[in-house]
Amino acid sequence: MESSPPAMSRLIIVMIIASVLLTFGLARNSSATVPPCPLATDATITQMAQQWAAFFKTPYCAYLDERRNILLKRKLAAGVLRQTSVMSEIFRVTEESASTAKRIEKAARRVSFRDQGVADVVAAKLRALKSGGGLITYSAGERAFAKASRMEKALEKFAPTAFDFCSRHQAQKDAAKLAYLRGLVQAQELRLLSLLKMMDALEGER
Amino acid sequence: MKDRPGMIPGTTMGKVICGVVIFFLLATSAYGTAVQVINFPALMSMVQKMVTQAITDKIKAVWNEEVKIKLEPGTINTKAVSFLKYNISSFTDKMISQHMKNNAGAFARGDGKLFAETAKSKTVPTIPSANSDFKEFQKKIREVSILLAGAPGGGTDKMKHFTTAEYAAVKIRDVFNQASVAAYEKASEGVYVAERFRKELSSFDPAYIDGATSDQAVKDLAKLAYYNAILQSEMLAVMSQGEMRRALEGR
Repeated sequence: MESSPPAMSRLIIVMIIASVLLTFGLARNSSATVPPCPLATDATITQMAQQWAAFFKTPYCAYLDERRNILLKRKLAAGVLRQTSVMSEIFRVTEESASTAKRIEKAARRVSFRDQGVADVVAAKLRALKSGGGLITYSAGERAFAKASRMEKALEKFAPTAFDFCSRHQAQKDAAKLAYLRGLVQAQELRLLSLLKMMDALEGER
Repeated sequence: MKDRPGMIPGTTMGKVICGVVIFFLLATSAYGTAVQVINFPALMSMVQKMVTQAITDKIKAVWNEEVKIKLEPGTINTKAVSFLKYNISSFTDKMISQHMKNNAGAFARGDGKLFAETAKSKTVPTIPSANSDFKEFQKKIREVSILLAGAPGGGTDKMKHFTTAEYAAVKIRDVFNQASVAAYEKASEGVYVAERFRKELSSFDPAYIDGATSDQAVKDLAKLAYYNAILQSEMLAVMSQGEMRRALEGR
């Protein structure tokens, strides 16, 4: 009886061990917000730091990627002025007409060089050139008018208020397209104006 | 039997158990304190560094991508645009300063050989095609310019008997002929440039702008604004040369 502890003593021992374990558990739980580092080595801290860093980094990077993709999508959105290809087709046709050039040549060949002074030949040549220039200018004016009318009709289908409802990126694209079309129209204007000035230069006293 | 529990701490076993309990309590307390006081700042510092580095790297990567997009060239190929290089001004200046002063006009004393040859040649004067080579185009324009310049007048010797009004009229006519040459040549350059612009730019489909990024579109917009400015200055030059000539007309 003396060598084996009685039931009461065993119960006390079990209670002490249980309370020890309970104390240890409570200590672990109380430091749950600051996880205990039983082996407080550099490797453990680094590993934990990496986990935390990944925890912060992942949502931030995902957010940044998402914003960037949205921005890229906006940048790639097509403009609201869709008819520009058709409009540019209007100006693809050349202004020069082979038939007009032939008519000028024909008129110029009528100039006779026989029994005439230099001044007469020059006057005749310039007259022929002037009438030829008149043909070219008229033809150019006719074509320019046709192109301008077609362009005007094409542009009338578009309402510029559409720019108010589109993004800045789309408006930039449309601005570029309109600048392109404007260039083609201006080239037409320059050609016509130049022909008129050439005609002017051929007439008048000298 | 009633006194047994109270005697346990007094026994060897009780002392051992109490010692173990005290040891556990002290170890647990020291353990918790050590984590909070010593390791936590080190951990946070490391986390801060890692997070900062990760975010910086990401921002750099995104920024580099953005810069790359911004540096992409526009869709209009400027190398294919050649209309800018055609300028007839030096050609006209040469014509007026050398040819007109020596071989054509009222004050020229030349023999008028070039003028006579051009007038009598079988070459048909015409407005040349803008699709031809620029030098060939200039040659054709020059033929007409020579005719517009007029025959040499023999210089001031022939005008000795002229009254002041007649002398002034001859001078004005001479200047008018020079202005006609300048206006004709500048206008012909305008025709050439306009046709080249149309030909070179009309091969570009503006729908390409829709397929590119808005950064590229802005670059194309700038290029087109530049081309338009060139065209407008060309128009201004043609118009002003023509109006200068017109101002002398009828005087």
